[in-house]
Amino acid sequence: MLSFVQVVEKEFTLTPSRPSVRAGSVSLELVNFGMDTHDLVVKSASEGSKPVRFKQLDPRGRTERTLRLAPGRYLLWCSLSNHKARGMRATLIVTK
Amino acid sequence: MTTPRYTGPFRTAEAERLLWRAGFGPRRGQAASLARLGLEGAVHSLTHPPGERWVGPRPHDDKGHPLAPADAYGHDHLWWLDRMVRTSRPLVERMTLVWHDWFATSNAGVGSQKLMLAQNRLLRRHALGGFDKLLVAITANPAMLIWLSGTDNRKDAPNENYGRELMELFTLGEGNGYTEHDVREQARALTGWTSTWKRGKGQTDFRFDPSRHDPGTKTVFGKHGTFSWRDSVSLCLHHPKHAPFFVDKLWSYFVATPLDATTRAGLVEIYQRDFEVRPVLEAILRHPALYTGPRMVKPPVVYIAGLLRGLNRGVDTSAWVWLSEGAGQRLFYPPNVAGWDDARWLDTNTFRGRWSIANTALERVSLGDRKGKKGPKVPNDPEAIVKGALAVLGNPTIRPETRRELVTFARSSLKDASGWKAEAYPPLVANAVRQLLAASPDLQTC
Repeated sequence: MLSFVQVVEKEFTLTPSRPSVRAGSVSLELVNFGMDTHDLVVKSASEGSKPVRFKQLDPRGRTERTLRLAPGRYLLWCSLSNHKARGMRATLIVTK
Repeated sequence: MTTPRYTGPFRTAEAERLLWRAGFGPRRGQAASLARLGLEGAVHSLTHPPGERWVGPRPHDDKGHPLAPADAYGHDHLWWLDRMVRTSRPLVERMTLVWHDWFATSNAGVGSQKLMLAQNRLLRRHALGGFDKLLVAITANPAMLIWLSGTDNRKDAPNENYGRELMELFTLGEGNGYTEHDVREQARALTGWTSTWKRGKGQTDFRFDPSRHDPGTKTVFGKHGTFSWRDSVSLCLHHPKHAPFFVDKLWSYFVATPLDATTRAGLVEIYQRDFEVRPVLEAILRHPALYTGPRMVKPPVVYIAGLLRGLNRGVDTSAWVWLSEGAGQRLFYPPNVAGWDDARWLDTNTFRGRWSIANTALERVSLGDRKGKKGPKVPNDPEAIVKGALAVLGNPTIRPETRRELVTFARSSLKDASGWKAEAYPPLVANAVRQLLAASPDLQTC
């Protein structure tokens, strides 16, 4: 079964639509409600995991990817400039 | 003082119009059933509906997944469209749409489908109830507080956004009985709302904090007091210009012609008893102008929901999101705080959107061979083809001239249908007639 999570980006916040999601296929959608370009990096907190990078989005842009996520803690952030330091980061918990 | 009541015949055509104006159009046979209740019974059934009972197939996206209205773009629109299609309480749902336009809040500014859905539930709870209670609730609603800067309105830096729109758009009308001084003073009265930003959760814990409120004396509409946000709302409700503004605006959602003075006075008297919306609606839905006046263009989502109800089809594709947007209406994203402009639903651009809506609605019932299977036989008979098209769309009432045009079109399209064309042409013509009917002025208006 497919789960859905929407990540809303604005200056300078990054907010998933839910704090946790069930493991498995997850439709992760990135929406840019801001006035700047943003992107998204999703990475498991487990050591050695590879990040998943979403393409840069212009304001009002939207993109979606379906990911297979194992249970655990995932870090989400915008990798552009100092956006992460300014607050564009969040955690998503993937449950069993 | 009583308001005029329609005393003409209340047949299927009149019941159909009532179902379109006060809902999303009839399901098959529903107009005839409503007509049998008579005008009073019909209006009562709409304004006093029983508990909700969903009718029809459950919604899903193009891949068959259940909707996730808080978590997937467009699923919020689909979720609400599904309610419009399957509801057994159409006036409740239609009034929710009215309030969404009246207190137009856009997710483009809020940035949270979850908060927008919570606002939607609030609007539905108060759909037919007291406007006073609705106004208090919407003033404190988190989506509205974000949208119109309520949480940015502080005693050391008042923000006039909500105070202005509270009067200009929600209760009095532009420049109608208030001054710029009132705007500034209302902003002071409305200070105190705040929220907490939590990383990964967004704005939460919306609350009124007295320490952020300006406790000083304000002067609003010439009255003096240490007004707070509830007083701000109450001052607007009791302003002498509010009730006429309210009834004019509510009327305009249901009737194409402006309010006459007698009816206005009657509606104001009803409304001023206790701010209850239901009795005002009943008076509007019984008024002769609704049944004898000019037709109104259906808003795009009403048009789509009505097509689906008539076709007995559920929400089964995400296409409705962009199709509705193409026709000028994306739910949860009104163009600005003034809402949608009902006088501008039809232009050369949005009509293309409506044409595409009709096409998408009909594609599942299009005639002809599919995947190697032979389609049903279609008679080489223009009258039967038009009759069939009407039946597919739930037998809507159309003008005689529309029927004549469709028959003429079918006849001229079939005139050379001999030989192999005798079997090939009728399904093509039937599909074209269905499209022309669905996109006709008769079905774009009600």
